Amino acid sequence: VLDDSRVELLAHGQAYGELLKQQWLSLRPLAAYLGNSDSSVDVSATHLQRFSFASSKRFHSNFEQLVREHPRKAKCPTLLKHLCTSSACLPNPFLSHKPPVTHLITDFLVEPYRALEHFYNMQRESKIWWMRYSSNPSRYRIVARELPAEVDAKDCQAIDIMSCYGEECSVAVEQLSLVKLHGDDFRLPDARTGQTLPPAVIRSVIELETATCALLVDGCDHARETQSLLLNRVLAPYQCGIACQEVDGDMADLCLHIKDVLLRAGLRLCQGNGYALTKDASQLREHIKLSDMMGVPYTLLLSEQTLQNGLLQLRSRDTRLAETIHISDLPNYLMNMFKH
Amino acid sequence: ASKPRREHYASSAIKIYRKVKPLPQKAATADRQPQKASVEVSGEYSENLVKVQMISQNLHRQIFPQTTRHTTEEQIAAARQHKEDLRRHGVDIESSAPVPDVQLQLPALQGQNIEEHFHSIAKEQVEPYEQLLLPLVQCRELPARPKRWEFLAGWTAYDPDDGTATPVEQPLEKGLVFDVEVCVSAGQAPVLATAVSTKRWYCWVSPKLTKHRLAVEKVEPCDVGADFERPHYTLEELIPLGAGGPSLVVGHNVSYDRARLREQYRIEDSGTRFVDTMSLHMCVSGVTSYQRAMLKSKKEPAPEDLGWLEQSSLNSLVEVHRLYCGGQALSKEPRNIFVEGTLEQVRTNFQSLVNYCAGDVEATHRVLRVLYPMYGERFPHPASLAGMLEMGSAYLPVNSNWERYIREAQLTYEDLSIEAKYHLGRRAEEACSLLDEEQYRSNLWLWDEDWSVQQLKLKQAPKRKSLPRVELPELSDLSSEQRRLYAKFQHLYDQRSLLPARRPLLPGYPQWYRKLCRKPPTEDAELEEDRWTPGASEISTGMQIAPKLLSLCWEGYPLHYQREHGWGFLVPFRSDAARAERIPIQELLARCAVPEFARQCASQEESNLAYDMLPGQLEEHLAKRQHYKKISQKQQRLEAQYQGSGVWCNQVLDDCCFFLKLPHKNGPSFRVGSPLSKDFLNKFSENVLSSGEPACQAAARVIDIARMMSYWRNNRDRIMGQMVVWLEQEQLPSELTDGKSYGAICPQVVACGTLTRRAMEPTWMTASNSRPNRLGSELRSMVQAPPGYRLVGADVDSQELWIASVLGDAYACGQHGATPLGWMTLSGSKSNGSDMHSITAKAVGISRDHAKVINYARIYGAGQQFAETLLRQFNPTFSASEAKAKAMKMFAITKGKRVYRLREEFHDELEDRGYSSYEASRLALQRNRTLGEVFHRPSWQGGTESAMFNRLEEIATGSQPKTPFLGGRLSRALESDAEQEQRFLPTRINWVVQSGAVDFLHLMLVSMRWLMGPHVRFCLSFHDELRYLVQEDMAAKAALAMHITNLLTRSYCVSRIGLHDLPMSVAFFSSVEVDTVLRKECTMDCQTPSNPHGLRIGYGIQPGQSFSISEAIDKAGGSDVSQWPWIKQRT
Repeated sequence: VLDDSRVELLAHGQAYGELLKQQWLSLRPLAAYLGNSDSSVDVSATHLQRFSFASSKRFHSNFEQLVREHPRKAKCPTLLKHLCTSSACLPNPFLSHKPPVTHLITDFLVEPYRALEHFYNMQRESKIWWMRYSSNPSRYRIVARELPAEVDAKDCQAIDIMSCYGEECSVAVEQLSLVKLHGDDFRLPDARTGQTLPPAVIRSVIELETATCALLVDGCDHARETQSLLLNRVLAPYQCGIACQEVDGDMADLCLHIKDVLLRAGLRLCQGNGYALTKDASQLREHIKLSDMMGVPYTLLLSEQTLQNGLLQLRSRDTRLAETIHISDLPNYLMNMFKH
Repeated sequence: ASKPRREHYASSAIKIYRKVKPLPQKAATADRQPQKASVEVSGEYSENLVKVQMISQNLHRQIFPQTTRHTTEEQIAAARQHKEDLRRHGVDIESSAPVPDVQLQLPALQGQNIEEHFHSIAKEQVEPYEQLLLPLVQCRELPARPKRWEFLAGWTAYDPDDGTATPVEQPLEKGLVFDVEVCVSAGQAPVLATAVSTKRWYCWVSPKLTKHRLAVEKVEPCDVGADFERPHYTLEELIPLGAGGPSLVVGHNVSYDRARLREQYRIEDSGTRFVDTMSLHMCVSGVTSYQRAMLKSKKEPAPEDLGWLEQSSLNSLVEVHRLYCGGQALSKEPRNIFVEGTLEQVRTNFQSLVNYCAGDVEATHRVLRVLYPMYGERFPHPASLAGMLEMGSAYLPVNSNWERYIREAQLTYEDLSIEAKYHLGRRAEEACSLLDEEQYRSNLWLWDEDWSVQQLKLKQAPKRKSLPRVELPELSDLSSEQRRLYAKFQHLYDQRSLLPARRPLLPGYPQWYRKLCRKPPTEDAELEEDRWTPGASEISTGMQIAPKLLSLCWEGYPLHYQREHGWGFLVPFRSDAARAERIPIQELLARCAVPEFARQCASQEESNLAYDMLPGQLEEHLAKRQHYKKISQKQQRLEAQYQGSGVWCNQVLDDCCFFLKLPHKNGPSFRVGSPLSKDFLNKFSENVLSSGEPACQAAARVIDIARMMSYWRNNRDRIMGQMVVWLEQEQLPSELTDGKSYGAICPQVVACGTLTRRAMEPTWMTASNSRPNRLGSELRSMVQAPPGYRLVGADVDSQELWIASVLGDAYACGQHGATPLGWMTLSGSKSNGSDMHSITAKAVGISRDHAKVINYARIYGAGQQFAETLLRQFNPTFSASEAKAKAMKMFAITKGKRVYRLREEFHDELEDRGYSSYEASRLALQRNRTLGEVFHRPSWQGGTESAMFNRLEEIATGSQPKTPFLGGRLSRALESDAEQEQRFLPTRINWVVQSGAVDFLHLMLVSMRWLMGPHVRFCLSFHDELRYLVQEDMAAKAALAMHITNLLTRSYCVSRIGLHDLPMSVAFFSSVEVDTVLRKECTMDCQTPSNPHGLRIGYGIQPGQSFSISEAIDKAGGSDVSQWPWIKQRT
């Protein structure tokens, strides 16, 4: 937390955010991804701007790019994604990240006569998306936003997906706005009927850094006795740790070897050596406690037995129990766990 | 305006029709009513002797033309008595506020009076259909069935003489007996049908059957998402019967056949009506639910049941045919092909299946021949048949929102189940850590789960042979160091061959948790759609572990499951934990101390047990049995002291706890399978069932979710199974070609489906009102009028209560509102506490809402015992005696006391006065005679509802009970037991009121048809609610016609029971809704979990309008209904 009560992500958090971004990119694969921009004008920092994006240059150029480069996708419904770095943050009283921030923007162009239905579907999809990453899926709420007086209520609607903590605190992790376009500037053919019409746009804006903070807070806000940080398995910056009570030099070699196997499989291991050699049982317990607080979902526990027969323990942060696996199960058994 | 009227009543010595009680300012000037009108209206005011406002003078003149409003001296004297009675029961007759009078010019009645009027208009309406029906009824011999059926698509007619087959567009005659068959595996559309008229046979075959591939182009389903393969029916698949002019179809459960007729789905009414032999059977020989159970049971019937068993049967065609026609039983075997077989099998067995279908048609005809004359005799009024025909033509318009509704409900349902599952999974993970140091032993819920752990062990390595070498990954791109390490640990990899062939799942985890997990997929066999995730992925709210993971409590005690008894809970009865082997008694005691009633048990138990320990081993077994026996003896005492709702089942666990079962709705002998099921969900709100960890939000949320989901889970199959037929663009009226999808549902209504002849239908008639926490409960609002149309309808205000009370009024006093119940029904108001529920609530000392429930229960025949149970359920703090006292008081006030009067022959020896039942039975006993020999049938006296109950009992115990309004007879199954007067009495009493309400509904249907002619289409009616589909420009007139229908129907009803006037408060609906969708009130937004934004924002549906009588007059263009074009034309 910085002086002006804004927050800033450290390396661990930034890595978490980066993974969230990757997930966002792979969500709704129908999209044409239109890259990154630095513009700061077309972000809906104020409430009114949520509905006026269609008049921005960026939206124009995106639309043209779609028609030019993806002619087969240029019909309703279609989806555009782009990133935008901005110095203006979305208004969020409870939690706000120090600028500049990254906005993940999805524009869903749909048939105007089914706009509402798409809008609700998208709300539901987005909410579920957030729920999947949460330690408590019930914390997400869809909150309708009042429309500013300047906006025609027939053409616009807006909701925020709020992540709530306790009674009072909440963060808007995603903004969804529906705007029906008019006139001839933007016209697309209807995928079903072929008739061209001005589409309705559903825009989703996620402020990456703020949303990442929200997810981190989510990981701490659980009713458990332990101080685990319940980060989502798939998003966790460190997916796995290796720990053992040091017995002899062979043990260090085995740790090194397993670390190597896991790293080559693409798993993200704990910082530093990637493994921890502890002196005794209590130090090992301390280490595990630390891993839990860092949100590492699994820790491989090696023992003297491992050196004999290859059996090791896979300890889970969430159940605090360990299952026995064999060295030959690595890395596939672990890979499976992180797949979905 | 008032002058001639005064002359009119000049013959009456007493001026009872007081002039102009000044209307309260608000009522008179409300709603933009011009001042002039209210002055004019005020001259219309009238009230009766007990100050109940009567209909305006002009209306009375039109409806009761032969009756003048005057009273005799005797009536006035009687009224004094009535008023005294009313005051005694807490009714202040001055308290009611007058309502504005109404000026209306009704169309002229057809006939001398209102009774003749209804007879004549109903007759007129059924006439064309009777003319088609009677020839079928009278036809002794149907045309001969053709020897061979042609395998031709569409209709084929068969010559009655030589059987020649001729393809026809549709049957040539307008009166048919008809039956449709459906091949269930190929969807709900018909595959074949047969019909017979008095002239010839017909057979219809679906093109789907004749052509192996239907040539009909596959239509793009309307707005259907890719995930949902929903069937999509169009008119082409259905059977054409033709439209225009009246035609009549007879069938058994004919609404099923009707739903497969093409013309029924068009917005315009086809003129076809349906006679359902099943409904006729219910009217003539319907049974109670008890009787139905008896009919179904295989047991030898009791002697007292033999009488009615001969008079009735279950509803299937086979049973109904056996009852009315006897002879050889119908064979239903070929039917299995339709139920289980494929289209191909139907094709192969075509001849025999059509013959089977035709056989059913013949059987239906034989049933009709016997049954219809019986029906006609028992239900002589033409309105009964007219009503039935109308009820059978229900029509529910829908549009693409229907599919959207199903999709949203289904998705929301899935979302919620994922959420619930997720919470449970988290709880399970958390619970795992109890394995550490066996902490689970002290967990109140999880102590009896299987915490055993499996280990992964390697097999013994072979002594001599070395292990096979495990191939390691490609090492070429590795550094030398990496390669060195691989080589170093190669021997560890090699031991893979020593792993067991079948690897245990999650070695190191407790057994109960492992049961919730799936094996990870092997590399080659991963199914895409069913992705594996680690953890308790198989958990669901229905599992036995779920309530435990949520730490649920009943009345504060932890839940516990026993295979033998189902779900129950643990109540400790001793505080020393010495003998507890498994139950964590310390923790239990820390949570809930030994309750008072169990404490004494414990001390006695201890001495018992000490005694039991003395004998040697041989006797131990015996002693144990005795020990349990002792508990069971004590049980009665315990049960009496235990105040909760758990059920004793003679179970002691670990010698420290009682195990009590959760109460099952079907009675104490049933076991509860899941405390998270529908029946228990509201126990959570009553705090009977709660989570033992109030801080745990997960439990609260899972329960919330379970509550939200239960409605959809219980109803979705029926809702999704509704057969929606979509109309193509060219089948729509030209004004509806806006590119949206329109369709309709013909709900499968059994026009008279119960003993009381109420209509039955499983989806729509029981549809819940929309509730914010009930997923999918916006169902009814998904019936949506097409653009340019409106749904017009209303609920009859307190219909059954009024019927019951007016019967009492007419019988006891001949005056509206002269009995306390009558007055409260007519003039009582909730706002000043003068309505029935408020008065009972006040008298007994309970809340109005509770009083309301008990009042209805009583009027529907529930006894004092039941009221007692209800009272305790509402208020658990009432002791048994308190509840009993309150129930007794309530019954004394309302129903009154049972009083016996002597028969005349005993007047000499005994005083002629009322005797209580105790006195009466004593006197009879003294004389060695039965009660009935000495006394008349007892009557109720002194209660607000005594008059009503006396009248109802009088009707119900008659030898041939008839409904008061249309004179319809009670079912033969209940009539036959004349000597057993008390048998089924509550049912019969209830029948009088409910069947009376059905008469009421039938009359309304007739009246609406008379007023609106072809301008309304019947949509749906549930009991006291009536809805029509109307073109927009006719909506206001239809609303006014609804109000007038209420006026005329009530007038008819009171006229039938000897009253020739009608109270103003019930003359019109309180409001008629003119709306675009079907909903209880036109302002309801129907927000539910599946419709979170409501109808207005979510579906763009605006609130409807609600018209009082004066607004309806305004909107319909004035009060002169006789000038409506179609009415004027008729006269």
